[in-house]
Amino acid sequence: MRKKYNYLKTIVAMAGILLISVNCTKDILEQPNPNAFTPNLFWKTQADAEKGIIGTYSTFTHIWYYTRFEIFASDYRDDVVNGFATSERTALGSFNGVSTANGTKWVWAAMFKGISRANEVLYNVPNIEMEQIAKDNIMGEAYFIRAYNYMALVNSWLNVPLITLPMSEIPDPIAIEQADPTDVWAQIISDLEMAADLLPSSWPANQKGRITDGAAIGMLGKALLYNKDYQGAKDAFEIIMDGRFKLTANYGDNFTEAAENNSESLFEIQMINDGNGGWGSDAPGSGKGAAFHPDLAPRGFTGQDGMRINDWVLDLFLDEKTVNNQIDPRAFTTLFFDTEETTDYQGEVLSSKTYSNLTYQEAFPGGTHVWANKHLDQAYNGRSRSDEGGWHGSGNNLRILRYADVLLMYAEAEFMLNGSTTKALDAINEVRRRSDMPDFTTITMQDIEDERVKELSLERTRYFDILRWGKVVEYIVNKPELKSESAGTSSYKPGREYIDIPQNERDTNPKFKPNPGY
Amino acid sequence: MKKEQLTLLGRRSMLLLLFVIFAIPQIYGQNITVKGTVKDEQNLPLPGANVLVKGTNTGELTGFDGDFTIVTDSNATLLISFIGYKSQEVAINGKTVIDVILTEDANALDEVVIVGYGSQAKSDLTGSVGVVNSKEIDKLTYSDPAQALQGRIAGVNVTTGGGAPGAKSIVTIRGSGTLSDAGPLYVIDGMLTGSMSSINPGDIASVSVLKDASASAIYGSRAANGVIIITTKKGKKGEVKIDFDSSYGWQKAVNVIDYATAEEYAAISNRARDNDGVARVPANDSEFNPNYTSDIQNESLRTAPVQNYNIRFYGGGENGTYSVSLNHYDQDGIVKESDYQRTTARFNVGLEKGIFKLESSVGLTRTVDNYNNYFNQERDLIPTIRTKDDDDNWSANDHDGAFGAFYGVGSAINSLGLASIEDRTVKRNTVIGNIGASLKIVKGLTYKLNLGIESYADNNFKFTPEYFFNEASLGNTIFAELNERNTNYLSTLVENTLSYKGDWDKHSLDAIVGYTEQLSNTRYLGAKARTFPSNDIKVASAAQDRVEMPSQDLTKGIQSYFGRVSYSYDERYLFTATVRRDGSSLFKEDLRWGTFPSVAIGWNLSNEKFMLNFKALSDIKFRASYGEVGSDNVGIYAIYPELNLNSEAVIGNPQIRVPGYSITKGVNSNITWETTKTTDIGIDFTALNNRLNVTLDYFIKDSEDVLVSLRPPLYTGFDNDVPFNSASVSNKGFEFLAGYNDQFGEVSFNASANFTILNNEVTALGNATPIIAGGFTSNGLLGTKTDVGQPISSFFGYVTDGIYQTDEEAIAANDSFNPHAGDIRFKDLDNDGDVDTDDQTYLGNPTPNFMYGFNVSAEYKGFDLSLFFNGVSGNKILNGVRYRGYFDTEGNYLADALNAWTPENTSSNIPKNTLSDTGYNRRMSNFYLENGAYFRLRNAQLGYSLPSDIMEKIKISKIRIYASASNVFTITNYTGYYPEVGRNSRGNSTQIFSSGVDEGSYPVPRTIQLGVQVSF
Repeated sequence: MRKKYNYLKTIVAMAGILLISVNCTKDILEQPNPNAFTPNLFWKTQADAEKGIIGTYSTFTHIWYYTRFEIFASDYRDDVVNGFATSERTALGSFNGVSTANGTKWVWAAMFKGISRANEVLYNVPNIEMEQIAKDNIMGEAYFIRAYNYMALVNSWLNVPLITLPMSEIPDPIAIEQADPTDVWAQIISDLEMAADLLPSSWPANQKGRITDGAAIGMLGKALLYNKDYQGAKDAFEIIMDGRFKLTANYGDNFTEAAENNSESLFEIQMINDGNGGWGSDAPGSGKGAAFHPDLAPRGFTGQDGMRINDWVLDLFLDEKTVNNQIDPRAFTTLFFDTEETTDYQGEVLSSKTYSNLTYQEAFPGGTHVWANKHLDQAYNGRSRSDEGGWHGSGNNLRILRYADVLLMYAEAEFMLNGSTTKALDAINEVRRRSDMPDFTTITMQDIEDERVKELSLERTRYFDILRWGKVVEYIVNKPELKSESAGTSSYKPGREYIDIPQNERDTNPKFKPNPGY
Repeated sequence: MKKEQLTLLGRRSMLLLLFVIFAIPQIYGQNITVKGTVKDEQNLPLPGANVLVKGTNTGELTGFDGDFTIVTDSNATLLISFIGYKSQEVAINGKTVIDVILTEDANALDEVVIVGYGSQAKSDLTGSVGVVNSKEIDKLTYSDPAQALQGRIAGVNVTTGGGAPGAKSIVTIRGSGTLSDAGPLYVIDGMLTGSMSSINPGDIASVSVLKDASASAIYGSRAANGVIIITTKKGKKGEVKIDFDSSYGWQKAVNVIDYATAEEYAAISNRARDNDGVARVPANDSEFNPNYTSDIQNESLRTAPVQNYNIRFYGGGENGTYSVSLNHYDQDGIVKESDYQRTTARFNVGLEKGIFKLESSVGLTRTVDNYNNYFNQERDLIPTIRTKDDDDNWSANDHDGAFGAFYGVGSAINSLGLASIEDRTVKRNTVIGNIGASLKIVKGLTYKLNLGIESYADNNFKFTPEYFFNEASLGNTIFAELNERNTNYLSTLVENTLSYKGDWDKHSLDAIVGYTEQLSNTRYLGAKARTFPSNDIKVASAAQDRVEMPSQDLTKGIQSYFGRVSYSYDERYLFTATVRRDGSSLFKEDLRWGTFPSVAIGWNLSNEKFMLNFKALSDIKFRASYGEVGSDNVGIYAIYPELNLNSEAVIGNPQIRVPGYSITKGVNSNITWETTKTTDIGIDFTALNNRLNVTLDYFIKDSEDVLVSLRPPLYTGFDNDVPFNSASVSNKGFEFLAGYNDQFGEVSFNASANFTILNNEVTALGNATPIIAGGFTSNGLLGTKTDVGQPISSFFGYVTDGIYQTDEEAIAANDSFNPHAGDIRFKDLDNDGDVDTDDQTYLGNPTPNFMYGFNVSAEYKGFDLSLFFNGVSGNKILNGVRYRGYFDTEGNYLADALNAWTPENTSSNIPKNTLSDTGYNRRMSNFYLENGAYFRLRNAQLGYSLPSDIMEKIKISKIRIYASASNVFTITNYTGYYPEVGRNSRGNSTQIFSSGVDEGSYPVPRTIQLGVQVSF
């Protein structure tokens, strides 16, 4: 009896435990992701199209792009900047843009992000039922962003793959081959023409900063100029020289946060200092500020090794005076250098100042180096250093294409077609007059080159000007002193005007070839 | 689904609790108490002998004096056994005192080893299993119990990066067979989990490490990186016993780094500027102020206390046993502003009645970790600035005016100041436990249901107040910021097993089959918030800006079927076969299931008749095994494509951030298990009349389908590494373990030694590119490369070849950078007349190819002494401090930078001081590498137990006082803090590729402790 009772108790105990162990009947091996939105649910509505194009714009403020690293693949390579210390930052500038260098891949990766996202938009948005104008505008933006990135890529890497479809629509993404640069340029020009047709002339205030047809036409002119299609370039520029853009009265307004998206601006990277300082992009809290300022700022006002300006740039500025016989006001905006002189300009007295409103002798007693000043908004918000508030402490937009550049490119195209004509002179003099510089009565190509240095230094275009003029060897390689603060120029080999194809691409895609010279 | 799981768990925990509450009062029954002693033929007591009531699992081990007390039926029979002695059966027949003399038995090797889902006599074992028991574990006080395994078991490598309190160890068993940070599987009293750090080391009865596939294949897809089975101390039938152990110790850094003083720093800095042709900065020259100096390293270090208290109550009655223990461990770090506390409670109960048996083990743990991750950071305070200002407030500036132009650095963190003003705490409450019920269906056949649970709630809190140390970057914040995250983790395990044990004639069979399910879920919610009304208000709801709310919900499920058959014939021929079939939610349906088999054979040569007269060696056993085990180490949901919802852009006037979507994640849905194929050949024997026992193993461990992350072409726009099963890693090695026991008069002596020879090599990567990683500075330099034909995380770079003495010499070398006199000459390895990226080579690797440990202990009267030594050799360490100390322009230099090359000091091997470094001396090269070999006295302990006659008078069974010291001495050439460096954790990279990279983030202490153990 007692034994039976025990047995019963045991059965009850085991059964009880078994009962609670019977797990939920659903298959525990089926675990869908409850955290993420999946791509197959996307591209259905106009709101999706908006989200997609904003995601495409966001690549410009990837840390590997204009918020920081692009400067190492552009201005740090030219004859103006003498970057300090051998590192991944200065490797491209000393022709060490070998396949394995980080600098070789950072900007490449960010630009292809822009292209792949633009491709998604261009492929998917046509199938969305939505307002036609909104659809056209978004398509136009995507065409522009694709073209812009390809232009930057072909200028720096030359032999790039030409991809115009989303990755999901390409059967074998690692069978893609590098394209003939001519085909890439043809795509750029075609995309910019599409963009010019589809984009609006302006955006409402709450959409300010998005791309307009004027930007597309200006960029088209630039692309044609780079291809030495001077007539095409001139025609394009003339379309937008209809008064829709005009130079700001004060040259300095192109580099301050107060005068962002002004009348002179065709295309600028929208940046903001909202306290977010996350490194990278596409993640919550990513910084969207001008994190390249520490790479420009004078030594001591940055946590980075930074750079200085080669002396010849200052000499070029000092070669001529304003109509008031003073230093070119653009010299004070662009540079921080040792002078007591001042220039009266636009009701202000310009002098050589850096962060914290310090004079040169206050900042660098006994120093001789020339430093950068453009973009550094030292006069704005009383900033004391380039990294005040962190990497992304400055929300100053980076102007990529402004009307002054359009005028100078127009002058160049006209000069190449017809020589020193009135049209060419009017364009270049419009730029000079804004800075109180005396009119040219006749110009040479050297004048145009020099004017571009004075007007556009540190605006991510100088290296590519030298490249398209075919003067990299003459202007940079043969002057190793211009890169004396890093590794000189002795690594140059013919072909190294361009950066090598990143090793990752060559490793993953056996069809990829290194660039000549590597 | 989720809700069901939670409700289920609620019910389960309730049940667990009920058992704990109700099991205890049921334990005592009506029986007689039998006392006695167990001695050997020389009449010396045999502590640790096993006294078992025959036909039950009731029993205990004899105490220090060979004594035992057991409560049992007056008609029962006691079975007394001890390693190396012939077992005896003694009928009780109503006696209450039974003294037993055991005689030595050359053939007996009946030590029981815990293996997966059961235990086996050591003589029946066919797999390779390493064991550490509580006697060794109790000798050191650890914050992480995994450290107890270090140097104890051949083939097991335990490293901890630095000496931070609460730092987690990395355990590698027979070399890394994966290209991830996956570690071994831990089985704590039957619950499968990923770590043993919540366990109080004092609660551990034994640790078994399953090293080969024969032993570990029963854990199938979880076992590729080895399995560690932890068994906690259980109660014993008998009176209530209390063990108390308390210790107090002092810790101090073993080594400090010789950084430059302010004067030295100024001299180095001035010389660098002179060399570069740049003006000296005032703080180092015209305005150098000898009163304004600091030594941030030594100001941050201290002698810190560590204390540990353990108390355990245990006992049992007719039907049950219990063990309740409490532990509090409190360690202050030797770096200020760091400490760690762990409090645990453990309730282990057992209940046995007839054919029904219930065992439960529950551990509650609370850890509080106040860590200091700022110490010795890159860009720390330079010595020409004080740590505090005149008002005794933290500061990093003694100058009015532009900071950088005055001090010559663009940034300066004050690591100690920042650590002091900031709050950083990780608190975690963990429950881990199981309840196992078994039923003997018929003789030999047992059904068991095991329910396991692991749950933790974790709060990770960091509050950085608004502060201003200086105007430079890293020297101030413009708002206070709170980063807080709460994580809830729950893992539930259900295991059904049916086991059979039987003997007939000369055959013996032991078999088990089982079905299990394990479901785990992690859910977290965090808050990042900024700008608070005051630095004293530290909750997100008070913040002006609530910036981010990171959150995620991750669920993983595993279903498994398994079985094992162990058969032996005549105790001569042994055979074991195991198979486990696992299905995992991490993989897509058709790739979800994996099968992991193993077979092993053993031959007890000494049991053969023809060996009867062979006396030199005994208990000779040959073992051979082959098996496959797996690893499902991919991220949860890795196979699913997803949209990135955080691709924001700035637009509008006024400008605002607008959310955008993008596809940033490339996905490979076809990933599956990593499979490790292990072959093990071993031999065990004893010699010198059983005083010496030896185990030798040779293994080949080939890991295939190893997941390697492949960065797709960047032109795809994806920026994640996509996993592919395309790599292979091979580990081959030899393991040696020997133990020796002897008695010299009144001195009993015990020694053990082990060593491991290991060869690790990546044998394939498939389409994946070599992995370049191992960053040691924020400036992007990388130190390691993982490629086919080389060990994982091999150091890769240039080879130095002295210093260029003249500019001509430097130019002639045709370096792709721009070296001058005084810069490092790098070798032109490919002899093509220039120095460029083709001249890089493998420079050594961080994995020791030889590891060894030995333990010597002796007892004489009441005194006991034990010394534990261990060491490694054949490895290199990348000393990241050399980068900062010679090349980084933003922090302090090593004092040795003063000995740099100058035209007058041409014999130096330190390149000239320079800021611009045009020769790129800082490139990755063997300049950073140092020999990582060390030999150390890991622990020394001297104890004294009060004599038993005194103890009897005061009715206390044991009082032992002891002094213990860890890291007593270390012989090494390494110049960093300590040659045990673990894996660096810069960025978010996979840490295995930063193995052996040392940035000196936390020095290792030497600890001296005094303690007392009392047993009632």
